[in-house]
Amino acid sequence: MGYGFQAFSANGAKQLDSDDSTHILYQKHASGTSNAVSGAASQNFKSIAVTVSGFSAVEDLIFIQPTGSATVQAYVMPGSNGFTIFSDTNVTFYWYVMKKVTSLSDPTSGYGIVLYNAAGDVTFNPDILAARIKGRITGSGAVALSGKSLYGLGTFKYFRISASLTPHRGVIQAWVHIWNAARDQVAFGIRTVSPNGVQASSESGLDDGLYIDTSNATTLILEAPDP
Amino acid sequence: MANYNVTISASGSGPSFMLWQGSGGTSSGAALALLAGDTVSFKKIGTYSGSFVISGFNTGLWTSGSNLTLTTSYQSRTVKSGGTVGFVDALTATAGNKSQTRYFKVGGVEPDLTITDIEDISRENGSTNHAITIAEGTSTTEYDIRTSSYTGSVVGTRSGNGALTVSNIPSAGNSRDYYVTGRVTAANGGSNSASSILSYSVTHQSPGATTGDGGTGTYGIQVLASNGDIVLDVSDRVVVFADYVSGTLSTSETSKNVTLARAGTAVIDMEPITTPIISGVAQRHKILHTSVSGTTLTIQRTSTSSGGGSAQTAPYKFLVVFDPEA
Repeated sequence: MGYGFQAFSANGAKQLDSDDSTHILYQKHASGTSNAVSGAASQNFKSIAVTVSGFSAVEDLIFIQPTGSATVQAYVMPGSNGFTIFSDTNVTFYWYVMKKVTSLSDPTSGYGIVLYNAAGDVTFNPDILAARIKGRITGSGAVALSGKSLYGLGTFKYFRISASLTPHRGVIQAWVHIWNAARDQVAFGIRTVSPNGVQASSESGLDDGLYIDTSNATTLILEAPDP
Repeated sequence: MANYNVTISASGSGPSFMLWQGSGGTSSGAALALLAGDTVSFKKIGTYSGSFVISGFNTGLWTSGSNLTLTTSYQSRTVKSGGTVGFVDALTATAGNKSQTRYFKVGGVEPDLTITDIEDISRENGSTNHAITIAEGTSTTEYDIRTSSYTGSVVGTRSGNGALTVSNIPSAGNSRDYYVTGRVTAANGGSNSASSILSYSVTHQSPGATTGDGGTGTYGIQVLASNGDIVLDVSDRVVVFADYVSGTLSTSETSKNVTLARAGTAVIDMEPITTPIISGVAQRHKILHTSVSGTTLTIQRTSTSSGGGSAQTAPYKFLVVFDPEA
């Protein structure tokens, strides 16, 4: 790099690079608080939809955190005009939608460091929150940080659909985030999200109903203030 | 132990008549209940001199399954231990052109098999056991947890309702089916024979990997917004766009590699299937999973079709982001 600007984290992870046109940060597009999930129970997740103006399903990232002080499990399914939060607890959720900074408006504050690439595109906007990673989990694990500021990535992956012979029935399991009551820890793991798995009437139906994928999912945990 | 006597009488040539006298039910519903160790003794009387045989001894009830040729002296058969309570056996006495059938069954208290369903379980990596709850059972029933099959090795037992910790779990990254059987011991009036109830599955999650933040230090960049919120801090790593890919898995593809515009770390399925079960069939041909290594995104599915159906295509839309590490 002959000129320009680079910034690195304390342990050397690249944060900003004016000379790398592919190093496009995610920064805040919108934030808010969802309506409350209703009718949810342990192992029986229910949903609440959130509509986001200007949401783009080809680039936007969603991050959520439950409000309140209960232990909460949740996951997110992206949609075309926003996203849907699924949870085992009837709470509202703080949410952030992050976009590529190149898709956001230019800074207007008039102060701070604004970073441009060679094409003149803003590659860092000092006016709006960057997607500040506090941890990455692949498979089961947890990230802790003092305070109530941890958000989980809106991602979804089925783990297992099981089948049982009638009158029993299987369940649906998926990768979910689990916030502790203090909101200073987010775990990631497999949980039963629905009691409505396959109810088979024959042995062959058991085979037809079964799905399992034991590969690990990956999530990102962000730090962000309350919206 | 009780002994029951049966006398079969037949007289005349042919014989002209035959009569089963003594123990035994005339229908399966009226079968005589026998307990382990009980004996039933058989003999013949009358003038008929031809072959006189009792057949139908089933080893589900008796210690011997061979036919018994009657004589004028009592010969006994013994009820086995461990028979399934309620198991019915039909014995047929045949003398020439005459025959008669009587019914016997394994007696005793039957286990309560109507326990509540046990959900499949997923255990965190590193676990060494799993816990289940027996509910709506009966205190006199012993509930055994077995591996491999309903006759497999017992790895846990509980009397009646309550929690049970089973010190058995599959190796990391694998699933194992467990089979629950019920039995009533002789002390409680049962045969101690195990009856099948239900099965459940336990999955032991693969080892996970957690990476922390951007580290701690006293130099670097910190950017604050006008309200004082931290926009970027020296302790942060940042999320970077890698690529957005869309396409379709063909009818023959269960796996496909896609080259990304830049290296990726996390993959978000932007259109996950929301109805994974249709008409009792898991739509596994539509459920996609991914892994990313460098600039290679691998998209996979476990099957090209649902159960019994024809192979189908599967569209996909994935957003990939990069988490820069030092």
